[in-house]
This record gives sequence, structure tokens and C-alpha cells, in this order.
Amino acid sequence: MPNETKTSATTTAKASKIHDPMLTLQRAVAYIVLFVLCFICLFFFYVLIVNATHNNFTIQQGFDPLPRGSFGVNFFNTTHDANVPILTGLRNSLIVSAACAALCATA
Amino acid sequence: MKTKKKGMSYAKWGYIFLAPFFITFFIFQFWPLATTIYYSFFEYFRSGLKIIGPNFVGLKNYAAMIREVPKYFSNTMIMWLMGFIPQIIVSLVLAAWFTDLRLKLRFQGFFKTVIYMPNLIMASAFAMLFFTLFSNSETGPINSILLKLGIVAEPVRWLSNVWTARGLVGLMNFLMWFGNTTIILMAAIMGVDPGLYEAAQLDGASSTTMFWRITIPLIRPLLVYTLITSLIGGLQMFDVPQVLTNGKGDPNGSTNTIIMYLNQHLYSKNYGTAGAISVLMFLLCAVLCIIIYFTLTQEDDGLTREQRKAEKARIKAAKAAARHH
Repeated sequence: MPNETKTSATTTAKASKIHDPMLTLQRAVAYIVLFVLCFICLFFFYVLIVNATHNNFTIQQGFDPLPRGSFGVNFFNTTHDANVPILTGLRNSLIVSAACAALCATA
Repeated sequence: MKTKKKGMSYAKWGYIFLAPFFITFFIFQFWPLATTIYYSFFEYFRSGLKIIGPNFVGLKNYAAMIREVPKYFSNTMIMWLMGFIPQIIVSLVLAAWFTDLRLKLRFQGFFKTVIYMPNLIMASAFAMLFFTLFSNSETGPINSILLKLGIVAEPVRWLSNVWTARGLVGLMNFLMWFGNTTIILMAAIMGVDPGLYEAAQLDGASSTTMFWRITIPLIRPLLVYTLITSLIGGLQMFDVPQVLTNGKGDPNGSTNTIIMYLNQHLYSKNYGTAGAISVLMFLLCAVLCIIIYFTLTQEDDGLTREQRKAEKARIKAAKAAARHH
């Protein structure tokens, strides 16, 4: 292609306009792989979030991909469990990390 | 005279400002390090309520541990490789695609964010999530999906089979770190002079040729960096298998890593043996890193140290032979 002896900007601009089946194929493969990876990465988060909205009975029945309405109850149970003081733990972590960040920023 | 005096006082302040770091380093890092090495030569453990030792036993702890550690070392390395090999391949491919000027992928910001996301979640939380997802029962999310889709006839016993359990640890390490590696490698590839690619394109080189002949040799330093940091991280693998197998390294001790073994000794207050494992572990890390560094670092001419030495010797021999004739 004689156009490609120009500078890089024009080369890439021209190259993208010329129909290159190999490049299209490569692009298709790239998008498919990226979508699969994104699906894998997001799937675990999705299951986590969806299961957070289910009650005990639904979870024991097996996996159900649709969100249900038990999030409020679950959230209340989690934050009011005396054996697992999540809010105290979060506050402690926040104090330590904020102090650490402040020290790092001033040092 | 005056300027000299001023310089001296600056130096004094320098030391004063450096002092906090050195004091904390000495108390919290150097001192534990020194005592670990010191107690590794002692018999020092708790038997029931009685504390035995510290009695000096020389290298006895090391002799006992050298027999025990290889099993845990091989478990660790198998699980590390199961995560690292797909990780480096996927990361290299993605980094090459993201930086390819001709490919011009869209939604790059979205993809980069999403593949980095598993790294943001805590390793122990991620392991707990996997523990729930891949539970052995038929109601575990993954099993119930596989059963519904008809891929398997009966529930897979993920955590009771040696290779699925190891595979899960490998998969988690892969998922957690491939985004991070992709971003490091992308930075490396973007640091390569674009003129080289343009010149190669003019000469009619294909993307594959450019990847193997330009990208790989020029990003070698960062590849070595990734390999070494991943190896150190892999040898110190602990939280993922610990949480996934409830600290037992099941099935049959096949997911027990070196650090989990060390943790089991520390938990039973066996400081001598634990110290010996730590020192062995340090030596192992150091040796592996030195080997990797010297085999993979090459100078600009693309030769390793040994190859260059051999080349020099060959030239010398040729000159000597020429002189004789």
C-alpha cells in the first residue's frame, strides 16, 4: 500500500478505512475474549449481590439468578448480630487506615 | 567556614527526620527478623501448658523441615503455576490488543476497569465467596447451574477432589491478578518506541512478527519483574487456600502451602520449627529469584551472560588460532 509511506497518523487513519478482513476477524476475536473475561469477572459479583437479596430458604433451594426482596432483612440481621460486630470492625479499620493515610501524607 | 557550618546542621536534621522510620523498622521488622533466625536453632515449643526450651539444638529443626517442606513446596508451586501460566498469557494478549493502534478497540476504559475489579476485593472475602459458590452440595450456585444446563449429571465435588480444589485456588489467583498484570504490561508496551512498529509495518511485518520480535524483547525487563513478584507472591500464598479449605489444606493436604504449614506450627506455638521454615522459605525465595534474574535478563544484544561469555571465549580462541598460523 503506497499510502503507508506517510506519517503515522495518516497511516493509521488510512489503514482503518481500508477494509481488511484479517483485522476485522482479529477485532471480533478480541471483543469475544474480552466479553467472556468480563462475564467471568462480573459473574461472581453478581452471584454475591443476588444472593444477598435472597432469604435462607431460597439459597438452600439452589441458585436463582433473579434478585428477591430479602435484602433489608439480611442487612438488618448482619448489622445487628452481636457476635459479629461488623460496624465496630468497619469503624476500627477506618480509624487505623485514616491515621495511616494521614501519617503517610504528612511524612 | 560559615557555609560548612550550615551544611552540618542540615545533616543533623536529616538524621532526626529519618529516625522515626529507622526506630519503627528496628522494633517491628529487624528485631522480629533477628529473633526468628535466632530461635530457628532452638528447641522451643509448648507441650500442653508447659513451655519447653529454648534449648539450643543446632540444625535439628532444619534437618526435620528439609524432609517436610518439599511436599508443601510442590503444592505451592503447582497452584502458583495453575494461576500464573493463564495469567501471563491472557495479560500479554490483552495488553497487546489494548495498545494495538490498528485494532483500536472501543470501550477500553470499561474493560480495563472490569478486569481490574477482582483485585479490589479482599483475598479472604473472594475465597469465602468461592467457598460458597463451589460448595460440594447440589444446591451450590455453580453446581446448580451446571445441573440445570445439563453439563454434568451429578454435582461436582469441587472441594473434595485434589485437582478441582487446586484448580479453584489457581483460578482465584488468576482472576485476582490478571488485571493488574495487564496494566503493568500495557505500561511496558506503551513505553516501546512507536517508530519501531512503523518501521516494521513499512517492511511488511505482520502483527504476530511484530509482537514476537519487537514487543517481547523490549518489554523483557517488566516481564521478569512480573515473573519475580508473582513468584514471591505465589510462594507466600496463604489467604486463598487457607480460607477456601478452612485452614486444613484439604483434600488430603493437597492444597496445603508452605505458609499454611508455617501457620499451623505458629498456631501450636512451635517457634523453633516455625523459625526454621521461615528461614528455609527465605532462602528458597532468594535462590529462585536469583536464578530467574540471571537466566532472563539480557543486555541489548539479546544474549544472556553465559552466551556473552562463550562468545568472548570463542573470539579469543579464534584470535589465538590466527596468531599461530
